[in-house]
Amino acid sequence: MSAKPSRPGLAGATRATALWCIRILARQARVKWLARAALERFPALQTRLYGVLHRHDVPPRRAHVPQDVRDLSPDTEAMYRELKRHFAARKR
Amino acid sequence: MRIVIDLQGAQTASRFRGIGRYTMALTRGILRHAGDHEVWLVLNGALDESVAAIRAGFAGLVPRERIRVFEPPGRVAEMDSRAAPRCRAAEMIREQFIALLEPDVVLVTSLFEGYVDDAIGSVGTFIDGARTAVILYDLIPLLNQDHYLGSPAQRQCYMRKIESLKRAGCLLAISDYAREEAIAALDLAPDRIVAISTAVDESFVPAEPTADALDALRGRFGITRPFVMCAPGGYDSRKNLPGLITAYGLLPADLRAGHQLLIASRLTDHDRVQLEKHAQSNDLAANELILTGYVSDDMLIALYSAAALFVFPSLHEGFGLPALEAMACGTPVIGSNSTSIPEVIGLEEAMFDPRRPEAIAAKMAEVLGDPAFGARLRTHGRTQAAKFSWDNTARRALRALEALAGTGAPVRPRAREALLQALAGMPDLAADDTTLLALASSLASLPNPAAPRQLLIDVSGVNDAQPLRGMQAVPVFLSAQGGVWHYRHANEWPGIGAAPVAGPVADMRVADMRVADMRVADMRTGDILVCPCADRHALEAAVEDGLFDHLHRNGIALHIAVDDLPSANMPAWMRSLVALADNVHAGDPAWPAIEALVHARTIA
Repeated sequence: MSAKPSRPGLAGATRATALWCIRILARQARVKWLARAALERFPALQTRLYGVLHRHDVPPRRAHVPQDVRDLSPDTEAMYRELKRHFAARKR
Repeated sequence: MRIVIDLQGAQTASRFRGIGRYTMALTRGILRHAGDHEVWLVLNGALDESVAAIRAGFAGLVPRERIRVFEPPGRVAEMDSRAAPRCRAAEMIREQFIALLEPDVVLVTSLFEGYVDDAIGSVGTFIDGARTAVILYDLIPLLNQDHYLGSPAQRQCYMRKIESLKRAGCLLAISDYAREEAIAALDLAPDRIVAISTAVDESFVPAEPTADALDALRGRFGITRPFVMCAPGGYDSRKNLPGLITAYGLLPADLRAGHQLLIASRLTDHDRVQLEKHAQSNDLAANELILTGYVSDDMLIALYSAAALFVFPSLHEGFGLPALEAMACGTPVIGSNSTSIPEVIGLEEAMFDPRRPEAIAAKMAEVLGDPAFGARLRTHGRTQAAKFSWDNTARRALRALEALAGTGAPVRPRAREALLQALAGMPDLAADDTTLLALASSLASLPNPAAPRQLLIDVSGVNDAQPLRGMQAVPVFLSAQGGVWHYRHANEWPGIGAAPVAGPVADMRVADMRVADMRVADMRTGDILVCPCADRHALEAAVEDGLFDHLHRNGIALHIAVDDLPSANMPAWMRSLVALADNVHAGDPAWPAIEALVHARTIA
């Protein structure tokens, strides 16, 4: 699955910066609260943005998912190797 | 019969609402009446803030080993469209997880979760759902899609749950109305849906508030005279609160002057403003409408007991618990004649048409103007409420589950190979390392009936291994890797070769061990971990990191030794560790005592 291509030049950089700022702002509980309060006046839009505005209200638990094969327990590593084999077969 | 109950209904945000209460009360009722049946509980590890509370809630009722925690492969909330393939994978793994517990029947307490949280609910996507029963609360979103399922993603998620619901062998509806509604809306055979009803908590009983309590209520909410009350059980347009306010405005002047209208419900600022505007447009004075906001159960019971009348004007309910709660508290109750509410109130003359404010006002005036009618409603309410009990509901549920267990084949897992092939066969599921690591961790959490129960001994603070000689145990070492604390064990432990499991701990020289050569230890539900004298700093860091909470939540028994248990100087982290421990050996942390303690337990 390929990512959406970014716009070239200044427009692209401005857009990316603006989106980055919005993302940072949207993580603030107070900002989200204000946005939710405003959106309550527009039920259809509120429904569509429900997911975005409720995400990360509770910080996600620190994942217990290891980031490296060396951090796997023997059982998990065995499972990982088996999965790898099955997914490789899928590619073939 | 082995009953496996998926308790996610008590884990998501639903745990603060009716579904959470229903899940916990029904499960406790089933446990009270289970007799020879074996009850197992399955929890979702991604919703871990609720796991410890649920374990504590069932301590003594369900053995630790029968409370199992399923680990999903990362974040799976469906509101994030990128999580969809992971969610489908998680559904299959969860079904296999439950099947590995070899249940005769499965009970899913809340299927319609997982859009905004990491709950996972499905039936029949990988394992046959014929022996699965699902609690059916209502189908309100299905019947009002434009209002409740605004986005395509929400609609898709909900409709997928509906397909799962249809694959379940049996639905347990919370009211006769919910049953009839499901038969009509889902076109299901009537014998697949059983109404098991519901009940109120035992704390909802008539109570005469003391003068002090009444004063407190008056002061807190601005109550100046007798009041008509509504507790809608959550704010929603179908609760018809504007209709109630309009009806109150239509009351004769003397009744309005003698009564305030009190609405007890959690409200957003916007909801509050809207209701106040509606009250103004109906010429209500400022002190005629009281909006309490959220109130605790104790406060709610006090308000029920103090109210002159309880009105339940909802347009659509699956049951209508607030009306039953008010009746149980001895309050005169009138309500809407729509959906399930007549079944709850059970008295024709107490009903009104909720779509006509004049009809609501007329019924309110009838009760407020006729004390004899009010007294009749009080008496009827108590009699009616007594017909509903969690024991009855649990018995009905058990009968339905027993009948389900007599049909089809028992729930059995499919071969691991089949699951891996099914996962690899999902074209949208990425094959990158992050996904595979997450999937592997989730799959490793599957129950393994063949794995022996382990005794693990924390040797990270041990310098003299002599007292460990001869113990059948897995020596493990407390260590951090990548900022996350684990217990690790060595593949090549000096003196015991490459056998970390159940080999005698012999002449270890911990100083010679290199943590980098050790592997993260496999720990499973039912294992026992003994921490006799771990390094204080390491232990503190691991406690702060939540390692022991994680082990406790996963049903691993913890035995610790502390130097001076009763000391007031014991640090907070040590106190929290002591609180998690199954056995605390205070005073001299000598090995022989620990050894005796552990040997007193039967290790399989």
